[in-house]
Amino acid sequence: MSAGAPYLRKEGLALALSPATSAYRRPGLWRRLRSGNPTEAQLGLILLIPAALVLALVMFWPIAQVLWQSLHFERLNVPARGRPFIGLEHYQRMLWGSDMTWDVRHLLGWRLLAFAGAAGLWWGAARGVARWRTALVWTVVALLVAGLWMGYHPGEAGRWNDARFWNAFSITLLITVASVVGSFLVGLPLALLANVESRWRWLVRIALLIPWAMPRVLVGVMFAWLFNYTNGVVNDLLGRVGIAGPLWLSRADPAIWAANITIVWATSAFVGLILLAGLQSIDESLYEAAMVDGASRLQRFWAITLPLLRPSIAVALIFRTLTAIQTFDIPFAMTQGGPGRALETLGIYVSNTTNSLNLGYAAALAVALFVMSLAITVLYLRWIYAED
Amino acid sequence: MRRTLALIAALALVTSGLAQTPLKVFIGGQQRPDVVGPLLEQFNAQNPDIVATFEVGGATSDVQQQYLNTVLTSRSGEIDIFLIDVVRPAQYAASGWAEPLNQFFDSEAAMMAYLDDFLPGPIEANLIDGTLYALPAFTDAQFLYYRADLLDKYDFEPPTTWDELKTMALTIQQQEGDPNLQGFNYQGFRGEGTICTFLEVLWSAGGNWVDADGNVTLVTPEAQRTMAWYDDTLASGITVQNIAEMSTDLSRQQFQAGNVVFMLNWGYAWAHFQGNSPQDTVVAGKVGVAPLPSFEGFDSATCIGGWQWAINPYSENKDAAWRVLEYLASPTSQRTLAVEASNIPARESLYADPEVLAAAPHFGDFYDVIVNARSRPVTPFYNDVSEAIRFPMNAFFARQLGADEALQEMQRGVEEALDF
Repeated sequence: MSAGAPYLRKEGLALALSPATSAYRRPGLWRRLRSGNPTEAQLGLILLIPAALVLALVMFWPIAQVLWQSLHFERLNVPARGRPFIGLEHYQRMLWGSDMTWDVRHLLGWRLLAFAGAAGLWWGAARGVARWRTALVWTVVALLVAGLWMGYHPGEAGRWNDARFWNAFSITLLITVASVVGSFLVGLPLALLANVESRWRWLVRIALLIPWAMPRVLVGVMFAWLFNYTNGVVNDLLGRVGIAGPLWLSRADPAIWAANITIVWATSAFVGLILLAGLQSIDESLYEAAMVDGASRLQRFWAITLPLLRPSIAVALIFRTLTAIQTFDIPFAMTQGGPGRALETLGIYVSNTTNSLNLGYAAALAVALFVMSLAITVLYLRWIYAED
Repeated sequence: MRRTLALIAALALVTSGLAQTPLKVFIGGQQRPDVVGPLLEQFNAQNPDIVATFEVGGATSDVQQQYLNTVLTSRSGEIDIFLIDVVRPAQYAASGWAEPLNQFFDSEAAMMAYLDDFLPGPIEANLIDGTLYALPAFTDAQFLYYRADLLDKYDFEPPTTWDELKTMALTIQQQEGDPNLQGFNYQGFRGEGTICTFLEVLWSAGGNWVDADGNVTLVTPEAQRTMAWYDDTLASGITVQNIAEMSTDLSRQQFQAGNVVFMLNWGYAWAHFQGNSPQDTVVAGKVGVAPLPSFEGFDSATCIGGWQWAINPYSENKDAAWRVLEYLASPTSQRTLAVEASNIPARESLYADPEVLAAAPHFGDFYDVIVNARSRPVTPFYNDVSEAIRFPMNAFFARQLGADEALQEMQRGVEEALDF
């Protein structure tokens, strides 16, 4: 930075762009540009403009448009009604219910547990072992989820305005948690295996790539065949060891298992690849030093591998979670979201609503999906940067 | 003067030779591109000023519709002509997604005269308040396919009631002793076929989804009888327990592999069973076709299916598109589709056509069944109505909802879809 512009540091970038107001009249942006001598900060801003414009065009503009659309009535098969502004009506339909009743006993144990956790945090904060902010956030979450969502529950007469949304929401959460944990638990050993020095390492690495390279819809169709009740390989193998295979895709619970197994198969390779990259960046000498100190294999894994792998784990989990929240392809290819609505994720619901040409409501559902993704990303990012 | 005219004529000839109008026709993978392709090539040969090519989409009604939704929502004229399912014209008319065809006729009388050769069912679907939105490509109906060899072996005639069907299926299953042999197969997956599975039995019990005043009537004794029948197919063992994952084509494949005695399915299955199929067939020459059974004292009923040619209103070459449409809906094209793809003709004259009858003898016998096939709900909100029936039905087959719960859910869902 030139010696003549120390004030820029103090007064920040805002000043660089606003007309000079201080007693010292510094040259304006335009004049500096004309003279071919912009300050470093000014130059930085100018160079950012194209990127910011592209980002605004391809990211913020579509998001804003979907948000705006979600506040409008728009059904293509009702062109006579036009596209009136209806405010939050779609969100009311999505999140509210009619004649809802409090069901005190519903999931009471879990709810008490959540509130006990919040109380514990307040107690901890008062004693200085927990942070006030954490206690506050947890209390709000516990009130919203455990108090309202789990307790304000349709009784005999009442029902959610859109029970289908809550079903899709729960299915999406279930698939997200199960398949992310699953793909991590399978992906980590795969990465460790692919990192072992051996003649067959190339084979393991290719095997890692194959599921990742396959189109998801194809994976779904393939596994639907494997899980077929009468002709499928899975039940044939189970039958050989004397187990009567379940009706995988024709009953709700087995279908969730089948879908999660398929998703884990298709995605643990991705987790494995990212973790493998992380493993290779760990300095060999750390292990050597640990071995000199007499650390066992397990100790080396817990004390060196896992902590140093944390950034890679975080990256793998973020990407995996975000794709899991948007799950559409595999459950759709397997059962079109059935049996019943057992595999109907939010992604499938958005798609079905779009196909019913109710674009306004589909936009509102897409916003819900977006908010979920955003919330999870923020949580992860906080976790990654927590110790920085 | 004469020279000028000759010049203009020559110019017109040259420009028509140079400026070929390109047209794109969209069909699904299930609509036999191998048969439609040569048809279009023939058209191009006869009409040097037009080059019609085709694009193949997904292989189910739902997937094809999803693609067209994207094209039409973005007002793209990239496709000029498309095939739509018989359940769609009402929605296309409401959304302005199909070009009205009345303009291509000199008068309304001329249009009605042209439509005279078509079967009434498909025309009823395409002619909405006097406006014609599409021309039938072929029609369809569900039939009862049965294994003629097995029925002969046990000296059975094709069943006319559901009870007879059950008795025959049970007898054959027990006598054959093959654990993989299914007595009765139908569609229970979460898709379009399941709507017909429900409606056909409901109709054959004397019920309907709606009464004469337009009230939804899905919680009725007739509907309960329908659900009781399907419960019975599962309880008696004539139907496999994984019926909730049985899609239309999966049904067809299982019958073709020789694993099914009775099956409900559309007309296309016939050509597959005769060997015109990507899969092997073990049932060639052993298949019989009959009208659907009914409950004692009621009439048999079947769902109308089939596909319609429509013109994209955003197309820039509508006049050329109309010529292709006329060609594709012509008796010659429909004959080709009937002979090579066992697509059921939408034109009356073809039911006496020797070439058609040689390829699919049952078309002649079941003319009455085809003509009397009944429509699924006709509404611009068909997708919502369809979802409101297919979800509870699929959940019922997956044993998530009991019969009464499923019917109540259907009643509520269909009312909500139509109450607008």
